[in-house]
Amino acid sequence: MSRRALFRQAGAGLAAGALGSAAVPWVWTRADAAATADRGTFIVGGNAQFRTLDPGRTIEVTGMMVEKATYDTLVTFYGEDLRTPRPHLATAWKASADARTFTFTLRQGVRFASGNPLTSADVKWSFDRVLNLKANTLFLFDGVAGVDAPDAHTVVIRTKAPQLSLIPILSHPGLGILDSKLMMQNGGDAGPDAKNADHAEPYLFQHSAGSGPFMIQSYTAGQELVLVRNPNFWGSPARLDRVVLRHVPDPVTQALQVVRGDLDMASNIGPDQLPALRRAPNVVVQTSPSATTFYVLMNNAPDVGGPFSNPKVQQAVRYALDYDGIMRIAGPGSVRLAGVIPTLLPGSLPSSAAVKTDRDRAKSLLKESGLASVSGTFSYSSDAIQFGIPTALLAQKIQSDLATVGIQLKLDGLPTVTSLTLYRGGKDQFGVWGWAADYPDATDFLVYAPGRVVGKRAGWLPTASPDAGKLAALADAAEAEVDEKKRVALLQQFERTLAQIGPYAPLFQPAIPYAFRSNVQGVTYNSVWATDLYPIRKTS
Amino acid sequence: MQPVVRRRGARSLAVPRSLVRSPLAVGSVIVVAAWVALAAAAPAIAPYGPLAQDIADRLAPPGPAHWFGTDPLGRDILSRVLYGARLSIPVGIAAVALAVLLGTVIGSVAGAAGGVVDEAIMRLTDLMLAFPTVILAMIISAALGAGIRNAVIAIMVAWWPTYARFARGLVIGARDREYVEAARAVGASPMRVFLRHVLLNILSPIVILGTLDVGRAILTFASLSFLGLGPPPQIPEWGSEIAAGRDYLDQWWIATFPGLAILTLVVALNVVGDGLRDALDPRLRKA
Repeated sequence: MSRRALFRQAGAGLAAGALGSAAVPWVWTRADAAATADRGTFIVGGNAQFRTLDPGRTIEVTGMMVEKATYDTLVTFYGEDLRTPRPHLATAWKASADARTFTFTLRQGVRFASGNPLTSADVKWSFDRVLNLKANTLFLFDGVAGVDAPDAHTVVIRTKAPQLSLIPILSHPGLGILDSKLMMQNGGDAGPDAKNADHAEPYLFQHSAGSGPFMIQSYTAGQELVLVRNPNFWGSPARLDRVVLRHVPDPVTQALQVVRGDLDMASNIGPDQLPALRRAPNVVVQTSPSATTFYVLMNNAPDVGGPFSNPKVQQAVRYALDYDGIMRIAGPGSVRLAGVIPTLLPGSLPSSAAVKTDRDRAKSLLKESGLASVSGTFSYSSDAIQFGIPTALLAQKIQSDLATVGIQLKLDGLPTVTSLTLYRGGKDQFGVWGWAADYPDATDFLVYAPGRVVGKRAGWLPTASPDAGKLAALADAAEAEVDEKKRVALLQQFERTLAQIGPYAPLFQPAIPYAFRSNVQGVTYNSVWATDLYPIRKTS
Repeated sequence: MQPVVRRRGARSLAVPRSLVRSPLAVGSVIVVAAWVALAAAAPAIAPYGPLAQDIADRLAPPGPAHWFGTDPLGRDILSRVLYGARLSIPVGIAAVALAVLLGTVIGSVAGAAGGVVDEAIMRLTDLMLAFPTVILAMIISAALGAGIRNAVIAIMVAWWPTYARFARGLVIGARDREYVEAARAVGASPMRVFLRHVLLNILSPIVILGTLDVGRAILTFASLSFLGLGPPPQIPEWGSEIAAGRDYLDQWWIATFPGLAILTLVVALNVVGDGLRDALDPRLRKA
């Protein structure tokens, strides 16, 4: 499922790598252009080439940033946080004892930007549309059996199985609430045949049909998207009059423009640009954690993994890696992971619980394995730069770390397309990969369990060992647990066992860098929807 | 002043005086010799191992501890540049030698046989020459997989047609010469005539052309490595080091020093080659 999200960031990173090669000289000027002079207009440089702006069809992070600003979801998260769901369109919610029926109370007096009142009918219409469009957002509602609207301000969502993760999932901008009247006037359809009958996507490129603090004024593909303040917004009005998302795909150009003051914010830069940006006057550089796990995969299937399917060897690899060195490569803001769940999410283990480098122990574990020599092929994406970290760099670091305990790896750099095919097909003997959260809940990371998506890629099935079977059952139990406290405890137990017996070595959670002018306040970065534009304001 | 025109045997490869007289050529010979010496002495003079990582000292700028700075894994760039020469120079020579060998054999066969065989071989070389050589080398390298051996094969396959055409022309020019006629007249076998009287006489211009191309071969190998079609990334190689430096524009030293290594060696090789050609080609020599 996460293949959608896995390389969401990689594209941007690749662009950074490729374009970074053009040696654009830094030109320092004092020209503080129009952008900084106008307090009401906020200009963001980044990728303004959208695959779609229809919430029901959006899983790209760039589109979600626009939808976060123009649509409201039932629940949300504040800032970088992904642990505490907050009321948004829903002021309160209640799960039934079996966690299969969720009742939401809607906020009173909310109007869409069009002036139409927002009622439970719009919520039901929007969710039915997601279910019936069968587009790429459908996986968010995989567990949903149906949506009811018993009265104008109550919505009930029924799930197929107990699913506490529904609440955080509902914060996904792809589940934003659409103005059903306006949508139906413009080709929208939420009926069982919506897949064919819905023609609202072109309309939604030029107009938004939501209740969010902003609304789309215009969009010129490959140039810019303009948002203006929604006068009918239910909360306090946005401080900015207009937001311009300008298409500046090249990170070097973005950095240059934010230094010159042509942009208020550069949203898509890499670590290349950071040292120069930090030296620039009137520019603030920040990093935010991303709900992504970088990890080493060792194939547990003997025919693919060879010596790396041996649990002692897997354990030795975990002790042989130089995590301090790897964290230096990961860069500032990144966090060492003890397990596979990012520390942003409940159920994760603290960094202090992570394995510490112990090469003597690694060597004795290798002896215990009884293998005369351990060697293999380490395939990786030679052209991928994720979160500004060239995968080739990690590969060389890991190769050299393992060589210190006598594990020999042959580096096999492949184009991303080829290496991804190997990885997804479970044909990687040894690899280094990332898993980005599809939705802000730890259950998205149960994919590492035996027999689940990543487990299969690592050749690890519940039948591999009695312990693997127990762990697979534990993952199922954590997913179905209806008590939040118990759920977190089960997830942590899952994490601890996985760290002991899993064919993985969790490495780190990366950070996303961004830069903005020093007269801008309120910029945050959320792993799911990037920057929330609502709290941003500019002083002169 | 009237330069002394000396008679010279066709096989003479002695360093000609006109080469020695050009300061640029002399300087270039010294640069090439220095690179060969550095490559040979790399294990003795490199301050660090080419693979030794010191992650705590990553991306260090040039300084007393690391004259050329360190790369993103904390490896000493000076050491990697020196070790890189140990790879680039032999690879350049090997690739050209193989291409010359293959091209000469094919071209001589075409020239000596004539007729349909000649036509077929020449149309094949035309076909090969229609591709830009770097693109052809990339395609071959990508098809065979990344690696040093495959890069050498790629350069060989991409380049042999040039030598084949050249060798064919020389063979055709030589086969009707009087001394060849004479050899034939005294009853030498066709094979003996070809090997002793034709091939030996055309060898020196081909060898000179090959020498000229060593610099270009080193550059092509570096280009292939830059594109990820060379050795694995931990092996010190100038092209792949420049590629690694692309992601660190602020740390200019990562790409600059391997780049300077390529620049100095390739320019020097080209100047030496040009000087050699000027000196040996009677048509270019001043009267």
